[in-house]
Amino acid sequence: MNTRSTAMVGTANDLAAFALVAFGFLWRPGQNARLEFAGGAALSLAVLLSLSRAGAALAVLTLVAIGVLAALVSTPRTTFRQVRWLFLGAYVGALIALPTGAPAALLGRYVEERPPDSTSNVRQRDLEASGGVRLELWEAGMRTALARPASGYGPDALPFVYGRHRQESETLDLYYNYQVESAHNILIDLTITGGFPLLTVVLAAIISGVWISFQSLPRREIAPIIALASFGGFGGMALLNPISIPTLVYGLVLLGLLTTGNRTYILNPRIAFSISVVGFVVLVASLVFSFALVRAESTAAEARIAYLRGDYARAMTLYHDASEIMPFERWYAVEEFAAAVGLAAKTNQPDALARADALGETVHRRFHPLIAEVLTRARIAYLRDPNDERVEELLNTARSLQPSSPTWQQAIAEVRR
Amino acid sequence: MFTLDAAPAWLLAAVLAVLPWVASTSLRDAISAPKQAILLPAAAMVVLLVPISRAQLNASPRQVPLALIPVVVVVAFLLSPFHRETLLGWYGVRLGMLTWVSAGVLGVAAALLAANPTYARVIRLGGVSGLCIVALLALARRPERAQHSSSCE
Repeated sequence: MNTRSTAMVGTANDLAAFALVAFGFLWRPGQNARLEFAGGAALSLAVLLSLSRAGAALAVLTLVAIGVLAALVSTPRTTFRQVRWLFLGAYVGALIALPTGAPAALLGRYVEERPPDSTSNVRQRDLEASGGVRLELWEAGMRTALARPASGYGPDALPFVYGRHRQESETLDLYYNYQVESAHNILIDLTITGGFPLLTVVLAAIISGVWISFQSLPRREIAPIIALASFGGFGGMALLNPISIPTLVYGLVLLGLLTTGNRTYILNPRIAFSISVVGFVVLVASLVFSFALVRAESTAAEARIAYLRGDYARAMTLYHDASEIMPFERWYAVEEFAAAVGLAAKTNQPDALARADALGETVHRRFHPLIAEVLTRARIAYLRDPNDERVEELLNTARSLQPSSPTWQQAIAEVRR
Repeated sequence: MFTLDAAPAWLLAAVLAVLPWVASTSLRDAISAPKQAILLPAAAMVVLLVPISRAQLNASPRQVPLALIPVVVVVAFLLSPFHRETLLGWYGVRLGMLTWVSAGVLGVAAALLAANPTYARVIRLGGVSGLCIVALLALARRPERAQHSSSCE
């Protein structure tokens, strides 16, 4: 049961981070009263409805920063005239949010950080201590980043390497069966993704865009006050939470808008033709890819429904189809394996167990494994033949994937029971 | 504002306005694929539209680090031991190589177009539209959540 408003752009914090960065597109106060009123209202509404405490605090700080920056570049009277619609909009947004109960929830009535997970042994009260978990995730993330500082592990690769680098910790073990996709700090995540070169390039881009715009505030006729303040608020969120696709796109486009060029070009016909040809080829390829991806996702959605209904045979077929449409997606292959395991457990037939065993092997020949999948394979191999040599081999792989997690080590020890 | 040379800016604005809605559950987006499916062609179309529309571009050495972001991500992807896993990215998150490159292309396009006040205004309008759409979607979904919340208190 999901009790948080997480559907818009990912998690609650994603929604708040998105609202903060999108607010920056208003650029500066005093430009367009109606737009600023709507933007201010949308910011406070989205942030309050997100129920993200960090987001709400950073939104307030962003509004304060806008007021301060505006006061720095003009007189108090002009500042008031410039920011009044923005602030009035934010106030009206908060008033609209009041009947929904979101502001009250933010002030303490809301007790849950995450919905209870029936498959997990994580207790609700344990999840409330998100600050401590964050610090430990940062530490684990830094260890991961430092293990491959030159080139990183590639984008979104953390779930495959996190277990090897995390320390022994009771707090982290509360989340032992969650796939940790982010270190909850953009700087650490960037280093894990592309090593120190990516971190350096992103910091250089931020300095080029934000810092130089900030320095030129008093001199510029169209000072990007809201953009800078909101980029600061978004930066604060990104230092505490993962980013999602919309926040990444909005963040880079906002940074692009802050990094204006000073030499004007109109492409000459020959270069324009070459770029057009390249653009056209890429467009056709990306359209084909996109249609395939959406088709694969629709098939996977049907497979998910079949799985939830207990129709494992149909789920297997559909996940297999999805995997054939989009062979780069690991999830479809893994879910096909999971459906095969479900079918074996349901029918209790040796053939079904053998098929699950074979599918597990195929999946891990194609993709890197996670510990839960390795243990499932080990258990299947053990059930088929307790003396199978692969059991010890798989358990050794599992040990290497999560060497510092007592909970996983206990699960490894229980495979042969 | 609706001139041919402003077409890349309008496209960027449309992507910004639509992306948050695509990110909502209105497309059964328990996963993030629809966002990726929109981003890739959008980035390609911006690359195609810039020369066709003969848009006015403004470049500067300041933009080099921004342009290097997708390049470094591609290099990291090529050197990664997890090629297959990092092309699309982790399921449900989808911040894979293709997402980073698409977002990077849109960011660089915005940087090249930003010096023209008309283009910049159009792009910013798209961004604010996205914010308003998200706020309204969040508000529209609120009663459903309120039921869940009350049952948990």
